[in-house]
Amino acid sequence: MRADDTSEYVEFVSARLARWHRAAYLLCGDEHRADDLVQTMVTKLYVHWARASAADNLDGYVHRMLVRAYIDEKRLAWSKVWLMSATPERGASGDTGVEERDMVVRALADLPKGQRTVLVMRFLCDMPVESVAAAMRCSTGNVKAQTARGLATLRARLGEAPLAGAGTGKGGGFSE
Amino acid sequence: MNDQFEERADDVRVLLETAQVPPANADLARAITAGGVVRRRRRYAAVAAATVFAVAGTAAVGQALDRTAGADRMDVPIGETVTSTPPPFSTCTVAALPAPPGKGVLAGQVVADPTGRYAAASLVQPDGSIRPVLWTDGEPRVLPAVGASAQPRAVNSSGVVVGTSAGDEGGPLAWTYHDGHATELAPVTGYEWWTPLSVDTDGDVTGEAWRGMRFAVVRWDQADPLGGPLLLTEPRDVHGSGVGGDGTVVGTRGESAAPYAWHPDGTGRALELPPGAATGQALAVRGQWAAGWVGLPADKGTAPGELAAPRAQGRGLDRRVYDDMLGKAMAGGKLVTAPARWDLRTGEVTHWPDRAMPATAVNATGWIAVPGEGGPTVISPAGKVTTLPGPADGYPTTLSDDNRRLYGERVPQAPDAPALAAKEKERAAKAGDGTELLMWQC
Repeated sequence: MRADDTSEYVEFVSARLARWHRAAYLLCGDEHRADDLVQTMVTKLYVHWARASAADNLDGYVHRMLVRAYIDEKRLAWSKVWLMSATPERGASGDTGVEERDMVVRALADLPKGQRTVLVMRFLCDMPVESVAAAMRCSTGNVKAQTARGLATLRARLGEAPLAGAGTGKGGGFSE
Repeated sequence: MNDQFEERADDVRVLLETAQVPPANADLARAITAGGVVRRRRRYAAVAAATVFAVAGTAAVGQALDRTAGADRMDVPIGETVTSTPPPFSTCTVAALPAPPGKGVLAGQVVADPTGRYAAASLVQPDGSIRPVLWTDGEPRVLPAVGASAQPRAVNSSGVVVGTSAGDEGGPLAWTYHDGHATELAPVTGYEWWTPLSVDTDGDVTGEAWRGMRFAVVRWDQADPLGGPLLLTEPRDVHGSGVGGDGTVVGTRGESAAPYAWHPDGTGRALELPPGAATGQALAVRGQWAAGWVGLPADKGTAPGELAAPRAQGRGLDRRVYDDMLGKAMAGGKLVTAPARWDLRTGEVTHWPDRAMPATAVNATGWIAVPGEGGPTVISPAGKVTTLPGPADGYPTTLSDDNRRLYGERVPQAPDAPALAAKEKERAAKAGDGTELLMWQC
């Protein structure tokens, strides 16, 4: 990689790290796994930077990498190895934080994996339905159905809680 | 269902955007260094695959993987390892070059001066910025930044370092460092990219500028770094890798890679190839000696399954050009590589067809360094091979004139099984995830 490519990479990634980390954390609900996911992703992105930076929609490319990394963790030997070698000592610190986790994070964590993924990808990462479907290797209909179910469950869950609708005042206002 | 009727769910958007999440701990420095290792492994794996395929088919592949993935090799300790062979390599120790404490991880290739006293490489800081580091007898010092992503390319025996960075607009920025100050070198007008390749004892800088696939040798005058650099050759299809003390540049010519040398007066010549060899590249030059590799047809090779990893010395970032060249050289898929040394005075070429790695460094007396299976070696002018101590994946890239000091890095082969990957990962973690740079003292 030429020096200018490296600085392009650093510039691009630095500006987005926090957002990717947020997406990863909301997906997996675990601080350390989120760090691992993002670390794996930015490393892969560096390896493939020449190709990735030529992509029409680089943000979309990265979001696809993220969702694939999350869904297909088994395919990522790297991530797997990291988790195998590091989980025991990390588990303890992760557990202590559970009670303090944000209400939204907990509500998301209770959703089935597929519903949680579509919500984060579509509404945090702004991925179109088609891209989410491609990344999840399912149909657009499936993505839409999971979106609808996920939204309903999430709103119901938050509606029971004191923080319902926090920040918007609109919680639960849609019919499906 | 039409997308415009799709749920926008602004309430959930806001919730997702404002939910409390812990701080991110991703480390760009680690990504860049780890990613760099993956890239190197892939390169080597690709070359190895082509070589092995050409030679012997799948049985050899299995054997090669078994051999190179041997976990025991990873465990060879770095430290007071000693060989006992006749001088000049009778007692050698190997040590990791230390990173400046607490400042980041090391990256890039290490370059050194002909005495071996000075060495330079890059330091990736936790925020992803990259600074040059200069070692004096193994003691590191971070140098001032010039532009972004600084990569040292050469150092002379007075500790003058030259290198490249990215400028404000992403273009190349060549620089020289001496006496505590970094100075920009003038841009090469009319070229897309340029880089210093060497700095001589007077501080004059020889480098290369290119546009597309055409390269020209350039010279920056130490007395006038900001004056326009001198173009020493017309742009041609010759690509430089190493520069000797007298300004001789060696490299390769043409798409199919033929070893080549050209001189400060602009003249050049093709270097001899051994019988049967079709391609090659000189990577380093010192005095009358040049070192590199030659490509032999597979049936001439006697080392089926050995891994070949030729690469340009000191040109870590210039991968695209090199990949193109190597890809074309390998296009037939029937090539094995062998280390080679050229006597520029007589034109004679010597090669070692039972070895696959290139000769990566050469000194004024014609000794060469050759990495390879079983550990890195040095080969005397008479052809005597001595294995250096330390890790078998040590990859020396410099050899001092007095045969007392070599610098290099560890280049682990790709792990093929999870257990090995885990081992490798542990090792990398212990090393702080950076490139492990090595110094051999003999």
